[in-house]
Amino acid sequence: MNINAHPLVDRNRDVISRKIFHDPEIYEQEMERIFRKSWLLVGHESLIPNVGDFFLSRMGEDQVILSRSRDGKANVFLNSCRHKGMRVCRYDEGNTKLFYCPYHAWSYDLNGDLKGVPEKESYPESFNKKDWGLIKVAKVASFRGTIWATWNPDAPDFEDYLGDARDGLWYGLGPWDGGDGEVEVYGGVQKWNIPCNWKFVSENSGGDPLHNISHMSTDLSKIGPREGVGRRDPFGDLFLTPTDNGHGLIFEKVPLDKPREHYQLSKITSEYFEDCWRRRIDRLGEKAGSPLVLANIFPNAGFHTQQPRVMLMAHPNGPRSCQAWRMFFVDKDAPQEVKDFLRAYYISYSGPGGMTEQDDMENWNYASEGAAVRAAQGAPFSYVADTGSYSDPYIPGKVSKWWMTERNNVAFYHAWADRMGY
Amino acid sequence: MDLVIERPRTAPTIDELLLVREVEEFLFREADTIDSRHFEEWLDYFTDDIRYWVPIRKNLQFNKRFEDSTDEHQSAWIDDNRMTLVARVYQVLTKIHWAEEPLSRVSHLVTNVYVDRVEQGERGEEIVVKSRLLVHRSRMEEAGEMLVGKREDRIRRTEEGLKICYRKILIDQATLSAKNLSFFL
Repeated sequence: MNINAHPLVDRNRDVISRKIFHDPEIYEQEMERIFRKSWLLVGHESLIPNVGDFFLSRMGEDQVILSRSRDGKANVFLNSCRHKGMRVCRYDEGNTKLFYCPYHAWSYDLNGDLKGVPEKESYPESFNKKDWGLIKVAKVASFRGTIWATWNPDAPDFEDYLGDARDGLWYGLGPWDGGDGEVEVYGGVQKWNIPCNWKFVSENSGGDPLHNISHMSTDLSKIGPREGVGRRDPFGDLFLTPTDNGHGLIFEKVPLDKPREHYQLSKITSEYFEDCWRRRIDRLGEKAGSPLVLANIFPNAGFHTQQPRVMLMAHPNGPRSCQAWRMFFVDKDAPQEVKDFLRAYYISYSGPGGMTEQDDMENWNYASEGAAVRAAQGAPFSYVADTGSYSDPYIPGKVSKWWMTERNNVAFYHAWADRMGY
Repeated sequence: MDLVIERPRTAPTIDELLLVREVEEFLFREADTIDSRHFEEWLDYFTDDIRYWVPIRKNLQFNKRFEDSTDEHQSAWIDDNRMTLVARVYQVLTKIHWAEEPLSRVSHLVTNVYVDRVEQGERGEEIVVKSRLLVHRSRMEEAGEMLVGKREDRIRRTEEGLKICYRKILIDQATLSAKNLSFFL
């Protein structure tokens, strides 16, 4: 590719070519160089609690099966029969002993290994079932309930891949009291197609609090779980920090001496949160006041870890299309009334019907259109906002002094360019 | 395999026919109110204890054929009470709800309407009405999107006339092709 005239990611000027948001050739390269090389979020332990449970997931554009085998392990393999490519699983979720291809009856076990072919005697001696299992990912990792996979045998261990994101995400994906309990995903995944490039979603998850203005209508409508608040629980100041391999993290600083009894609209939820907050402080001390709020784990795993608590897989679906999978999670041991109250709030916030996310998508969609404007191809996008940085005892890396900064997204595109070989 | 043979229903009474006509008229007027963008007025069609629920459908094995949508403790596309429904209307009225500014052009086609049953609830008589819904939305220069679904309404007879106290919409799509649900289904 000729990158002489304008670098796609200009590291000196912090500007980025519009081309990377619409060009089909760049998109194809992303599929190979990023989505075949990185760790990708494929699901959550609570989606497949029992042996035989499966969940149909996705890595980039490809459908994968996430299954729980007899040894208790989570397995990830392609949903494509080795014989003729037919889907061996046509269900979003379920429980089974075998994945059975309806085309020519090849069948596979929960590890993805080929168990049977019909009329075995008509196959040559050289046909070894061991060679014809479903295509497995190179590595699977489980992290605080979330399950990740990569096609890259040389990928670093997952926790090394997280790097500085590890600690924040560990607590962000755990129970509200900062303890060792579990969270669970509410049943059902919101899946919908957004006419935008996938990178706009990653930017939004990991490093763009500057778009706060887009949500003023939601704030004015006061959908927050407490009377008088805007769209989410009132946090303190936001602090951004990027990792050197492209993850974007947004932390907040909240006062420890104020009880976190947010949810006056539901007394039991309020009491639950107050109790959790007290235990969190007992357990974590000063650190309890610096929780992770938002994150994008490179390339496309988005998290909202305070309230609402959501995870998002922004699957690339073509240069100008993204298939979003939105899941909500909650403390497993929380009272049912708390789960139900939070559920309704989360749904009102996120997803295609979510009062906040609708306005996000409006931006992503028409910015994707804008990226492709022919006469503007020589005019790159600006990522220059920088509020300077400091070191913080509880937030890793170079922490932004203020939240009106684009350093996280600059780091995202540096990592993007590194992996793309630009 | 045994075939289930439905016994023919007895002919409807005039009262039953009038009730169907009454709820049809109510639902058509409600659709017209929202399609003509009278959002504030549209809220009057609902009770204070309204639940406006759009569960998510899933691709599941045959033996789950009657339970292929998320239940009330699971995720959903939309699950509004009066407060969130009012907030949605308010959000449109702010004039800076960018997903609906400019507004979508929306048409609701309500069809296959029948009264499933009439129940005496704690707060009055409730008519359970089933129908099909076809919603078309166009915005900007876009041709638009169409969603088709099944609807169950529970319509209460109140002192102020008929009001919907429960609405469940099952969209046929499992993966939504609509870019958002910023319009009212």
